[in-house]
Amino acid sequence: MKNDLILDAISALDVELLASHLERKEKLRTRSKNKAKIRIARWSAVAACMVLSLCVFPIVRLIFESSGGGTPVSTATNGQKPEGEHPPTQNSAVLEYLCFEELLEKATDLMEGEFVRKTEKNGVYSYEFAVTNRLRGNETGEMVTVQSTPARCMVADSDLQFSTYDLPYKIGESYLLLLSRYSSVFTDGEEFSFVSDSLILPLKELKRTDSDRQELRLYGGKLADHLRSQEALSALDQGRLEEYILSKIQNNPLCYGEEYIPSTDPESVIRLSDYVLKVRVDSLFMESYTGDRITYTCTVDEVLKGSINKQVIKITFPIDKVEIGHHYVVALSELDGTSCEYFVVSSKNSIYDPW
Amino acid sequence: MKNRREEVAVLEDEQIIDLYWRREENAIRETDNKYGKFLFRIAFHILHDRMDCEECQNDTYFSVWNAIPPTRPKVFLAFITQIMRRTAINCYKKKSSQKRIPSELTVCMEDLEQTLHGEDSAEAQYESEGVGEILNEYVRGLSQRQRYIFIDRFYLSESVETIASDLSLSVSTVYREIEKIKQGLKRHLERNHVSI
Repeated sequence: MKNDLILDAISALDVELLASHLERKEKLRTRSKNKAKIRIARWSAVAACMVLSLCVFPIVRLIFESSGGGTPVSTATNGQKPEGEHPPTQNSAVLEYLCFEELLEKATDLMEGEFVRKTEKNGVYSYEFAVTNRLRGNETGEMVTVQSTPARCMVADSDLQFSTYDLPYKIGESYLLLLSRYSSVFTDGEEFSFVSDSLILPLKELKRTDSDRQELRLYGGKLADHLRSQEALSALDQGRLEEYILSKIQNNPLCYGEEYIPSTDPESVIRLSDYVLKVRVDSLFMESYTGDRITYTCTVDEVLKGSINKQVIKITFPIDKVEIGHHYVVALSELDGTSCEYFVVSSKNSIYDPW
Repeated sequence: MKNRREEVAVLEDEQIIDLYWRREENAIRETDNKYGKFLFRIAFHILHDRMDCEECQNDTYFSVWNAIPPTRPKVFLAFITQIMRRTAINCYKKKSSQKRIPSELTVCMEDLEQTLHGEDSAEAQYESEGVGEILNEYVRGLSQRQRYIFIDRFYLSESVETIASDLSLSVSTVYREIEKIKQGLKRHLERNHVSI
């Protein structure tokens, strides 16, 4: 159908264009609201002038005339101007500003690592580091790979701009890495991201105590400009920033992501799962944007463990593990608060062929 | 999954994304609190049915919950808008195969189809993805005002009256601009050997 082709083509609108449009739309709406307020204020001022001219001024005039004085001069104005339209930004990404101390709250891992290489897959960059000193966090192995989606970024309510297309890591140099670790039942292993792609902490610069530490960067500028506490500033000046960071992230979580049963032994998985159902996979409900999971509408053939009152449910499976029309025994967790409608596999080994 | 709207302070996008990362159900409530009305409007322009819109909205929240983490969207509003629109479009396609849906989307798509309609030719078969890239190229080349009108009208299916009001233009000016945009798009597609 031709209509569908047009619809799909328009749906492929670049996210940069959409983001820029939504930002401008918001500004126009705000301006429109302000204009409405100004209109109300103007009408109020006009009404006030009318009241003054009809009621108060004649009385005042009478008093003046009776006392032989002159005519009073009105000076009433509302004095307000409509707010001008700001030029729309062309940046592809707008980020909320978080100072350095706030960024620390996102960290799960702190380590020293030597930059090895950068690779790209499906528009996502992977930065590989050889770990030389693990300061906080669970085991990662000798290498850690950190993922970053490149973008031209602007920080909201500020002039700060930077690009994450070409992060200034130099091969063979060592950096202090502040990372967020993520894991879920759908990912093969654990994934890492920088707490901010713009935070660059070369080790050699961290130890310096003079003020010329140009390579310590955040939001495309000097790190020192984004430290808010005296404690952090002192630590930076004394070359103790690493210790400071370590002391501040001790109580952070070790990993982000959904909990799941770590065992892959079927007996343990079934024992620890809230629900075990025999289901038929009916139809695709939704593909995930992350590409690692897929949700199907399923019919419940039999409830083997747990209690549910629905015949048709939605289950999110790892990608490519089930086929439409087939029957499976599945060990599941319910997505909280969905009244037994949405479920997710409870472990990495939760799908069994019933025969 | 959709929670009742409450009068609470609106969180910044980054804070909402953090809630998703921490797997806190509040994330959905805060998303609904901040953007619920806006998302509903998008779906309503497409489907023109309150119940369908609410269902799409719930599916969107579910989808966002599934996507964050590991995704950390750079622009949260654009991210959820895309998901909401795609969900509503899927529903629209399903329903429109049975009957004509009296929505703003139907009107603007029929309008666009009439202008772009050309002779079918065997060598001009494109995948929608390919056409999408050509269309993006065209939109980038539009003037700021025309780009606003194009995205608002054909992506978000806003009414002409709303666009006119937002841009402080008369309705007839917006119609004239839409006509120019459509003709320009037709020429651009022809130059790229695309027949719709």
